[in-house]
Amino acid sequence: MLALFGIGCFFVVGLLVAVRLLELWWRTRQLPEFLVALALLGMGPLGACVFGAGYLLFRDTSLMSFFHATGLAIQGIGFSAAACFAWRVFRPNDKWAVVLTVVISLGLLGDGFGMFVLPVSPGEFVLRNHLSMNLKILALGWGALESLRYWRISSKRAAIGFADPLVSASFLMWGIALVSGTLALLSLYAAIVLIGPEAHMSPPSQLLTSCFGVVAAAAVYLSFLPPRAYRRRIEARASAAGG
Amino acid sequence: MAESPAFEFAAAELERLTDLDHLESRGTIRLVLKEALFESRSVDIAQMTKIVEDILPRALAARGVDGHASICEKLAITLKCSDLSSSAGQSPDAIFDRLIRR
Repeated sequence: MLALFGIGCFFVVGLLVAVRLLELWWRTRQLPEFLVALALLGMGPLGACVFGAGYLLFRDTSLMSFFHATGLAIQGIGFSAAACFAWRVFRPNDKWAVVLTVVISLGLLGDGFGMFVLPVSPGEFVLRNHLSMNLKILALGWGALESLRYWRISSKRAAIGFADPLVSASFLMWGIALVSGTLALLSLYAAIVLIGPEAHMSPPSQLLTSCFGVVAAAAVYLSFLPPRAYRRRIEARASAAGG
Repeated sequence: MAESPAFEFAAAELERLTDLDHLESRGTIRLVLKEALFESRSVDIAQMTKIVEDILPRALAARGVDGHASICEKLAITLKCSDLSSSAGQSPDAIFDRLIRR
């Protein structure tokens, strides 16, 4: 139950933001809005709903592995979308970023869809799970580094009037959200490697996941649905700094 | 390293509108970009236009270019009307700006 609070916060915010960005994508037909929406839905509510449905409705039946594989495939799509967003937005002209995105996407989609052919039961943690976990950490960690790197440049430009302070703050918030996601995955991975496959169900691990979920939810919300009071605060701070 | 279309366009237009030669006009644009913390390979048309309006007049005046204000005004209008405007909105700033506006 402990983990459910933080994860629930992230899912609700993820769903709200994803719906708004899909609505924006419907009007603009631009890739970045679609990628963020896909990432938030896949890594958050959509993937988890499929996992949850399999666990709650088809536990100990043959359909459970089908839902497990489908959930993993949806998550794979979500994490791949997050990597594609980092490439498309921050490194569109760098060949190494294309290669990194392709490696992450092929690895995660291969793992997700491969689960239909060569299933691994939910309680097991084999080499494939290690690879997939590392690729997920890489996808979020890379996105976090790119966003925070760009925030550093953008905040300096904002200080001399060549960038919008609110947009600059959004880079920071998206970076914080991705750092939280990376740390959540790292803590889960460390628990699984050091203690065992069921360690992620332990109270300390759940508490950590919950905390990271709350931070990620708040950061995603401020990044893509900045409330008026927050906008005013950022603008007031920028005006004060500008004299 | 390939320069951005906005940089190439602005440098070529500056060369056409002034007595500056190819290298001088490119160097001048590079310096004003640096002052505003932008890179010649990633600056987009909207950012270049703002830099041309806000920083370039001073830079041209410092190089003794006559009519720097009107040159910059013309250059800004040309940038806004260029074909490159259709590819605007692809920088990280423009993308995030679109994502957060309601």
